[in-house]
Formats: sequence, C-alpha cells, structure tokens
Amino acid sequence: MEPLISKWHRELELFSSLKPLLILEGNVLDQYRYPVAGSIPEDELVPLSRYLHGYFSDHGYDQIVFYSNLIGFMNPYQPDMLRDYAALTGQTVENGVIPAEFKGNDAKTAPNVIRRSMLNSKKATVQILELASHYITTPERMDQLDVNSFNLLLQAALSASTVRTIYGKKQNLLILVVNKLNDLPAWFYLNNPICKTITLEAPDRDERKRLISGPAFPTFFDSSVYRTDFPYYAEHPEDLEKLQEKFVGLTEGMTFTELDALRNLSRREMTPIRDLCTIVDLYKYGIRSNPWESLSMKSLKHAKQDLEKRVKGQDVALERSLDVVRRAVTGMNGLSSSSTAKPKGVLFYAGPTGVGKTETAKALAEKLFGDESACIRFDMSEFGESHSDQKLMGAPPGYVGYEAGGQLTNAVKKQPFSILLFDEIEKAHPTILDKFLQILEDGRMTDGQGNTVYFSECIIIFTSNLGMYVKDALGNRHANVTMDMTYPEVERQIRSAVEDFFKLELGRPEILNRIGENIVVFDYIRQEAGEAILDAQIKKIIRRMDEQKQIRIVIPEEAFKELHDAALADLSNGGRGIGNQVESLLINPLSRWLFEMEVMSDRTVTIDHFLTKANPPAVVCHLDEKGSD
Amino acid sequence: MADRPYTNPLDGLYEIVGDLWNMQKLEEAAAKKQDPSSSAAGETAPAAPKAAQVPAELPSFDQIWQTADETIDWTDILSGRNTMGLDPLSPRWKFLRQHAEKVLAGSLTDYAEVLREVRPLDDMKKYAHHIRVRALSPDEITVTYEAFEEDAADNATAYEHYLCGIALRCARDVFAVLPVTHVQVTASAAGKQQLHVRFIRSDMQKTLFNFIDPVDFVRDLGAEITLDA
Repeated sequence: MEPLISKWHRELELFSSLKPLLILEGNVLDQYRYPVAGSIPEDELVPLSRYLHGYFSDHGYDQIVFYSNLIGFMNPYQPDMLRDYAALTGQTVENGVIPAEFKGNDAKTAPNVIRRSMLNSKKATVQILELASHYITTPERMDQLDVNSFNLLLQAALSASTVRTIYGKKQNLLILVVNKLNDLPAWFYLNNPICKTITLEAPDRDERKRLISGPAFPTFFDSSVYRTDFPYYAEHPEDLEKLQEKFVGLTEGMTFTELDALRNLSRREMTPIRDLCTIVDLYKYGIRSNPWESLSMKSLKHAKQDLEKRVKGQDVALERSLDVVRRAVTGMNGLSSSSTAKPKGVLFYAGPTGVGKTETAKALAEKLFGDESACIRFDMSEFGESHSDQKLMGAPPGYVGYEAGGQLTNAVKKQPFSILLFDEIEKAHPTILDKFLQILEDGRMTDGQGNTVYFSECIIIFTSNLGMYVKDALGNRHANVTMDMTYPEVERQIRSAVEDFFKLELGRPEILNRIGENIVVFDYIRQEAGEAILDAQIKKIIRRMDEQKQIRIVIPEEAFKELHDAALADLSNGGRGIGNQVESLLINPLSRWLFEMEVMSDRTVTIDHFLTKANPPAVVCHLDEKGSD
Repeated sequence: MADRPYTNPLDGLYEIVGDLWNMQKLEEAAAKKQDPSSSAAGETAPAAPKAAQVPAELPSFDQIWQTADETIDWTDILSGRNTMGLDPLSPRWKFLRQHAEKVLAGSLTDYAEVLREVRPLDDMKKYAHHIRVRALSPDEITVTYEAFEEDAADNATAYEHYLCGIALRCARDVFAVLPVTHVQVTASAAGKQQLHVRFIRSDMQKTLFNFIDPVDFVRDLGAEITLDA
C-alpha cells in the first residue's frame, strides 16, 4: 500500500527545516497514525509525543526532550537522550527527569535551559513543550514573570543554531503543543516570521479508510471471528468494500482514539465482520440493534393510513413527511452529500395554527419508535435570548448550571433514536440557529462538558407559523394566506414567505439550504377534514364517558347538526379551534347539566338541543328512565 | 505462556498431538520422547498412560482457573501490530508472524506447529498427566488428560472442584493461543472417564473468572461428570 501522509505531517516535514518555532494546535490529545515505517512501524497508532519522538529520531536529531511544567524535562522513549541534554545544558537528571519551573528568573527555569540548548551547535536538539496551554492561567492575565518566560522562549527560537549531522544540517527546534492557539499570548505567534502554526485535525475520510481497509483491517476482529468470517469476504471483495465504505461514513468526525476504541470494542464483543457497523451504534449510543434497521417495510407501507387516523386533511404533508422516513429507512438519506453522519431527516413544517403539525411529529414518533415519547419537543419561544444556547447545549465550565448539561444534548444522549421537534423555530434567537447549522451539517454537537452528542439517528422537525402573516410597508401585519385560497396557493405563499424570512429578514440563506426541499406546508382544515375531526372528538367523548362513568350519551341527528354547524362555522383556527368549540358547546354545558341534575354514573343522557347562541352555551337534555336503556 | 526456546519442543512429560493429518510427525515426536537421550536432563521418561501415581494429596491448585496464558492476537500479528510487546527481532515474534496467515486460514498443520512452540498446557503437568491436545477441525480442539484419582482428594466436592478447575484452565489456555471456537476437554482417572465438557469461546469471552465457581460453570455448559462417590 502507498503511504498515506497527512497534511499536518507534510507541514511538519516542510517547516521543521525552515522555522525554529512550531506550534502544534488542535486535536493534540489524540493518537496519530505513523505514516511511514521507521522507528515506529508503519500505520501504528501512537500518542502525539511518541509520534514526534519517532519522527525526529528518524530524521537524525540527536536530542529530543519533552517538557511539562508539572514534571520538568523528560524523555520516556529514550532516556539516554535526556542525560546528554542534561550534560549539554548543565543540568542534572533526578529520578528520570530534569526538574525545571516554567516561571521565574532563575537560570534553571525551563525557558533559560531551552535557550541554552537552542544556542548549542553540537547536538541537533528538539524541545517539545507538552500541554503548553496550561503554563499560564489565561493570556489576558499574565504577570511580568509569565511574560518574561514566553519572551525567553521567543529569544531562544530567534537564536536557534544550526547543527551539522550525518543527515545534513539540522536546525534546533522548539515545539509548543497547545489545545487552542489563543491559549498562548498573541504577541508570541502573531506576525512572527520564525513561527509556524500547524493544525492537527481529526482523521479525514482517507485516514479512516486506511485504518479499516488497509493491513489494519483484521485487527478490528477477534482472531476466531476473523478466521471464520474472512473467507467469505476474500471471495466477495465487493461486499467487503461496501462494508468498509459504510464504516468510513459512520465514523465521520471521530478521533483516532475513538476509532481505536471501536476496534477494541469490536474484538471484545466478538463482532462478526458483517456486523462491523453495529459497533459504531454500540459505541455512540450504547445499543447494538438500531431501531431504524428493525423497521419493517411492511409496517411503513401502511404508515399513511395510520397517520391519517390522527391527522386529518393533510394528505400532501403526510406524504412528504413519509418520503423523508422512507429515505431514512432505505438508506438513501444523505446520498447527495458526502456525510452519512447527518440526521436521518430534516423537516420544516409550516402552515396555519392547529392543523396538525405537532400531532404529525408525535404520530411519526409512535410509528417509528413505538412510543410517542420518542418525540422530544422544545418550545423555541423559551430560547429567545442570545444566551439561551446554554440552556440547549449546556453552560461552559465555570458557569452556573455547568453540571446540569444542556436540555437538548441531555435529551439526545438519553434518547438518540428520536424525533426532535423544535416548535415555533422563528421565535428562537438567531445565535441558536447557528447551532442548528452544525447539527444539520455534521450531525453532532459537543456540549458544555465536552461530550459529543450524535444526531445521526434523529429526525429533526422544525415547526413554524411563518408566512401566515406578512408586514406591509408601514409595519402593519396582514394575512398572507386565507381559507379561500386553494392548497397550491397556500403552499406557494407560505413557502415564499419562509424563504424570505431566512434570506432577507435573518440574512441566513445557509440555514435554508440545510433544510433543502423539505419545507412541508400544512393546509387549512377544510370542511371535510373538519367534519372528520369533529366526528372523532365526539366519539371519543362518548366513549370515555361510557368507560369511566358508565354515562351513555345519545346525540340524535338533529341535535348533532346544531353542534356541527356551530363548531365548523369558523375553520380558521384549525383542529384546535374545533376542539375549543366542542369544549365550549358540548363539554362545559353537559358537565354543568350533569352536575345540576346530580347524575354521577350509570345513566343514559340524550341531548335534545344545543343552545349554541346562548351565553354561556347550554344543552337541553333528558335522562332516560333508569333501567329503560 | 511459557517463553521457552523453540528448539526443544517435547521435553518433560508434555505431549502434544497436532492435527490428524500430521500423525506421522507426532508419532516421531512421541518416539523421540520415549528416548531418554532426548529428554531434558534430570527428567524421567513418561509413564504409560494410566492413572497417575498419586501423591498423598492433590497438588495445590488454588484458583488456577482464574488466570490463563497471554492471548495471542493473531489478527494483530497478521497486521504487524506488536501488541504483545515482543522484540521484533526475537525468534518468537518471527515464528508468530510466519504462522499468522495460515493459522487464521485454519491450517491444522500450523495449529500443531503453534502448539508445539507455545505449549500452552505445559504449566498444567503437575496437576494432571498425559495431557493430549488434538485439533479436530479449524474450529475445535480436544484436550484429554489423566487426572489424579479421586482418593487423592479430601472429599468428592474437592475432587470435582479439581477436575473442573483444571478443565477450565486448559480450555482458557487453548483459546488464548488458537483462534478456535470450541474446546472439548475430557478427563479420565484409572481408565474411567470422569469429566467431559465442551467450552464455547464466545461464552468464555465475557466471563469474569474471578467470580465463578468452576464446578457450576462447567455444569452449566452441560458437562458430564462421573465420580465414583
């Protein structure tokens, strides 16, 4: 196999011969794959310090030492190098380390020792300052001694000597390893021609592919499993390639350390080769059987009829919602993108109030995960402040509520297979929408405690009433859509208003792009759907009264027509409006009547008339003789 | 796993039988073992396979099933990952590298070579005699041994403990060195079968051996245990 050399390794190769001061920042706590055979075997995963030691010793440096402000100078890989270094700098080795404080004016402080070694022209020396982010509290609160220490490091780099070795001329090097560049004082690295910052990233697609498809592939399996399973894949390399591709997609964003953990987990669990990808679910969510994979095509074939039992009159919206689910189940979601870690689906529900947007989300959750509680709802009107993102994602360390974590991240950690419903998204603060960008694009989010939460098994649904009203030039609100319009007209008007909101009002077209063509516009509740809703609600009330109180309610056709005409007179408030009418015209008057007549149980009540115009509305009823029913 | 030189595979009482397709080599090995000149200095030729001459009591085998030989991760070795911390220039590493591919292909010849080199049950010889290891298929290894007789133990319970503890340890050691899925262990004493049990690798993988009773564990696997008492 051709060596695969990462970008940062190439930069190290290039700039270690050009600049005496290198700063390695980013994913520095991870392990790294050593790309070429040398003192470390090719493709072995090693911690960064061992990697750097291997690299510089392979390139002919005489002395490589590591420094930590808590320990001092050390070299756990080749202790004799430390003895030479001590001799060169006039220090003594005590218990395998050269103790040295980072701060202070003493000649024995680390910056002074480093300066002396950088000046030497006998031994090519590399000094690596590990975890250099933590040598000072913050760059903004440095005292003069801190400044002096960094100044000395800068001077040491400026005065770095070149050493002749059998491998050619080598420049003494100072390397600082930091989590974030701004953990260091800006004057140390900004506009500094002798300094080069090299960013270490999480393994890219090629790196992950290399790990799972190269010579390291067998290491993902227990020996007995590999012996049993591999002959099939040796004969069917196309199946093996598909499996490896899927694994590469699923592990997007993972570090080498996490990939190594997957390897160990797979071996410990004796995972068969064909189930390799289930180990990713086990690692991320703690479960092996993915509910998405256990969904049967058969049950989804009838999903629309099932949803229609709960949501009336939204034929197009249900069909489009199910399209997203079908894409997820058939594995066709994200085919148009390079990432397979994105959420399973994204839907943006828009339309009039009370037409079934939230109900559809709940019905979908029940259909997909067998439980309506798998629909996790966030009322985004509670997240209208700029700092509300901390409620969702968790407060950073040191802030009140840090321990509690974030509402969203906690919920997804607890229920990774869920529908996340963000109600009234337009009421959230725009900074929160930025967080959604990352979720929609990468399918993951790191909470305030540093835990990564994965959204790749969720369907994300936003609901909004955007587009129902628009403002005119004077700032007055007026209806953008009315019940007189046909559904295609309503859809066009609302879709256009939603697009205008993101593009013109928020100025964030990129959010709209992430939603794509998944804006689903719900129609008004029309007459036929209204009748179905009313019918269902009345039946439910009658059934419950019978079950709970053994009170049988009879509504003759003539009386029902009175209720029907009044309840469906105004459908602009949707199904919720019908429910309100039923409460006002039937439930309240009937309970008043039952209370006055002291009917508590086991009777038959016939409603003769609904006095819908009365204030408050009333019912005219009579009790059937006991026993006559 | 004992780290012994590769050149002297059959010293002492140890006896390994490899794959069924390689019996001739094994017979030669047995003949060599019978030859006193080929034995290690100070060791006697093995007794004929019969009930062991029992000392006054069973040798102490306290918690022997709780440990096992170091696992040979053949997939690591195949990939060149030296997770066992062996010197890359050592004969042991070279030997393992040389056999990894064929062991993972289920070659019984290579199984036998590995058993001869690694001798996973060598440290068991003070607890039982005539330990024989036979590869029936790439999936399965059988281990047979002559146990001490029952009257060497204080009581039947202790003897049962001994039989099961040794069987469990033998299985663990074999699983550690070969990528087989099953190990059958049969123990006899005075010409009578005392124990027969079939261990499954996947069952062993997650067992916390510090907390098990070997008799219960072996019985749960459906072992046949026949004691005189």
